[in-house]
Amino acid sequence: MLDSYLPILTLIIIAVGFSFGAAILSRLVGEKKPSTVKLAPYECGMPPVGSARERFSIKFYIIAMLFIVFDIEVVFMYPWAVMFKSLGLFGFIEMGVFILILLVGYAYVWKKGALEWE
Amino acid sequence: MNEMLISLALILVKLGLIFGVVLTMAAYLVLAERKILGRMQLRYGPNRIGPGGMIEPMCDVIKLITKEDFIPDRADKWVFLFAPGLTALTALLSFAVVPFAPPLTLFGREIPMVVCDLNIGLLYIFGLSSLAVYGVVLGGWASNSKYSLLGAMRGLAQLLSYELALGLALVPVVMSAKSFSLTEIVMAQSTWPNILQHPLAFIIFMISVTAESKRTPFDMPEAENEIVAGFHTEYSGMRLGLFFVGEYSNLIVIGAMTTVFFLGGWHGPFLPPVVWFIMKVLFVAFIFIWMRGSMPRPRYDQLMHFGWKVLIPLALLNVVVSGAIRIALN
Amino acid sequence: MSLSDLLAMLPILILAFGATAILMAGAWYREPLPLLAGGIVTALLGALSAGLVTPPVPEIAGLFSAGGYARFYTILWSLLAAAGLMTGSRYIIEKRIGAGEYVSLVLYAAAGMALLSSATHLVGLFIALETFTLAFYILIASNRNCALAAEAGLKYLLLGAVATGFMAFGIALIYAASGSLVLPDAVMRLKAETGELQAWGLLGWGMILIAVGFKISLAPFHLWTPDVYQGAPAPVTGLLATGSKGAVVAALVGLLAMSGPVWNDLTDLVWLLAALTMLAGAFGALGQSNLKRLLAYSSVTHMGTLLVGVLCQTSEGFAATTFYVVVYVVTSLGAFAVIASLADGRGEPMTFDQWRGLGYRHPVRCGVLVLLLLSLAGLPATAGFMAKFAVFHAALQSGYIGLLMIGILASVISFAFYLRVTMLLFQPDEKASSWHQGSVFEHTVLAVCSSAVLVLGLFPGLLFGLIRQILP
Repeated sequence: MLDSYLPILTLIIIAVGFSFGAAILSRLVGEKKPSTVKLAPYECGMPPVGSARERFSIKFYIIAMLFIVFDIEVVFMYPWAVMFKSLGLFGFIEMGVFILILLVGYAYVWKKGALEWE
Repeated sequence: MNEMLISLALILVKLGLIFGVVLTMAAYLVLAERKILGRMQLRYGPNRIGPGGMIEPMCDVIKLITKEDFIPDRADKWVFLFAPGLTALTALLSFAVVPFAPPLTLFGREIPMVVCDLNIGLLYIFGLSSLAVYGVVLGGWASNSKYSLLGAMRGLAQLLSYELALGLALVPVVMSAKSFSLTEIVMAQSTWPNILQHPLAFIIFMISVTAESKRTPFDMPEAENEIVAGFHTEYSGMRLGLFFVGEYSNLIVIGAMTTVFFLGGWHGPFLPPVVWFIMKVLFVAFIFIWMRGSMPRPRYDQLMHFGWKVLIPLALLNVVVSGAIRIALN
Repeated sequence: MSLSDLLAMLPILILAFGATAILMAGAWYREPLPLLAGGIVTALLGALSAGLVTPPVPEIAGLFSAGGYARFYTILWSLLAAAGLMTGSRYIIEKRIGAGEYVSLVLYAAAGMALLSSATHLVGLFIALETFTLAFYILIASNRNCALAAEAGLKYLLLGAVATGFMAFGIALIYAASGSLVLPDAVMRLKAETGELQAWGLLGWGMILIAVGFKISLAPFHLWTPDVYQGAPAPVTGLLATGSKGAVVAALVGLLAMSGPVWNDLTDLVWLLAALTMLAGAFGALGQSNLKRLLAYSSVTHMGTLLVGVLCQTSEGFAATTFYVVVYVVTSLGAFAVIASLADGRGEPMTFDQWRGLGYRHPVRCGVLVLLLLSLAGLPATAGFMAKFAVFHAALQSGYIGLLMIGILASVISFAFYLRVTMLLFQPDEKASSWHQGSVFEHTVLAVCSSAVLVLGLFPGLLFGLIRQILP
């Protein structure tokens, strides 16, 4: 069983070598002439104002939370999809109930305005 | 012992082939994109170096490597250094499970034409596409620049939102293949490609995959005319290059995924399977370039509304309906 | 899951589906009163169905019991939810808190507590615990304009997360050591060889004990209690102080009663915890000048006393503990209901300065408060006395003389601060201001709680008889 992951492991080693090797190579080969202005964050040529470590809109957090909830529910559908034939009508109805519960939450979220971006 | 060495050698050969092909393809995809876009905008596109600009990609690589690779002094150094590698890494890792031809028999050995036919291949792909978020978010956040942060946040929300629809769109595909293995998904399409069986799933898949790729029309994370270059504003040299390696290998991954899940994989008449596979992948890639040449960018709120209020319910409905049809047919 | 399983789960289903329906209704229809009424009716229906419908199977899906003990607590927590909604009615209307959310969360919490009290399986235990804890995270911080409430919510969330971690790890260790998650089974297999718990299993039980310690605020895990009680709105505090703790104790009693003396190897530890908790609560309360914080420390003491009853691990100890839980729930709920009923635009009366002389402005409710405080103190003729007496009697019979002495010492100390509040209420003070009149709902809850305290104090046999019958 674990054998089948051997190629993946090899691939990971090669890919990691490639992506970090390329970056390190460019660091070794590339020029180095740092200056204060060059190292400042880019703000269209103006002197940078304030820091970027600021609060951002709560909407992004809401999206992240909703994603967690819904993604887990989507993952539950996969085992069902694989076993669809053998579970038959019973499985379909069970999944219908599950999707119904999902939809109740979805309707609530929608109605409460969590999906609005204005 | 001998057996093991042979299989190890096989793995290495296959990996080397895939790596070479994918990276070369990614490099020439950049060129192709620039040329096609040029033609669409009544320009020539790159044509100076080599015949028809054919050597352009090599020169690009040399240029990127020799460019100054600096770290902005406010940046979070280590995260800034590693984020681009992460993007490229997740894209490259996806190729491990892509079957590009039926198993080949060589010297009495059956050699599967896939690096590793995982029985959970589809979930593996999903896992990697979720991890792709990290490159964007960490890169944008570590830059400590406002444009980068905006780009990263947009990218995060966009990738997360469309991943749901993407996941739902593939449920019917799994239903008809009864397996997560990509090889078996292709096998299941030997008579009918899934695009005919599940047209709605295909459309949802294509839209979400476009959003996942952060390409026009869904390129808000790097919208040039609003936030400069979004999450990679502060990057230079090969690190910027790695973001592009990631983006274009991802384009090939998406092409391969579309081919495997919906276009019937290597199946096709007359030509050898590998040729069919590569043609289909390139065709999908061409569609993406075409879209970039002809589609305007929606507003960010429109994007999110579309994802959450149209695509997800539609995808759920699609799952239920295709399940119901399947039950009714039995 | 067959139809008879569903029938056995009917009370929980009523609570959960009712909660969901009200949540959805609340998203479209924002009038609070009908939603509240719907919630109260749902809770009462849940209690009624638990009382009247005989479950066709003794156990639901191997996770939860459907026996008398489970039904008893299902009734209690459903009624508690109804009471919590009644005391919270004015709060959510005046503070403009989403009625749908509040009502449904209280009902979900009740469903979770009912499940917890009937858990026979470690996974069921975990699910139920998380169900009501999640609801409380939100309920505590439901008043978003109040910094103290936000602080309380965050504290409860963080400590809740820590406790969950301990719980999950403890369950995992027990599973690793015994290979079973069903409780009597797990314990049997743990002990099979030597008659003692194996090291891993012991560690697992220790971790579960820590998680329980966080949840019911045993010393030294009690430090969150005063802050959270003070920050949370009084109706929610009423639920938090009673239901969330009572359900955990109920689960513990249920599990121990089913699986025999598990804790023999942990006796010393539990002994120490109980002694520490009783003393920490009693001494902590002495220095308080805020009624809600004082009640928090008082609840710490009571949890220590309850732990004494659990520690006995005899049927008498379990019966006494169950009786104590019921009495504590009724009394503590009533005390917080008094605070809730007095709340007005200025907030809730909390500091002793605000309470001074209030007995002359609101004699009835302050009288009820005094009765409840005396019951908490354990004055004879109140239910609190009978409860304490029963627990201490059980401790005496099991030979925990030292713990008994500490318990009595803590009770004596606690008399001091309960009496201090009583005297404060009836100190003449010209400056004492009037507070809110209280709504019908709140007065109903107060009437029920105070009469229950009196009835149980005078006729404890009524409840004891029932408890003896239902203990597993």
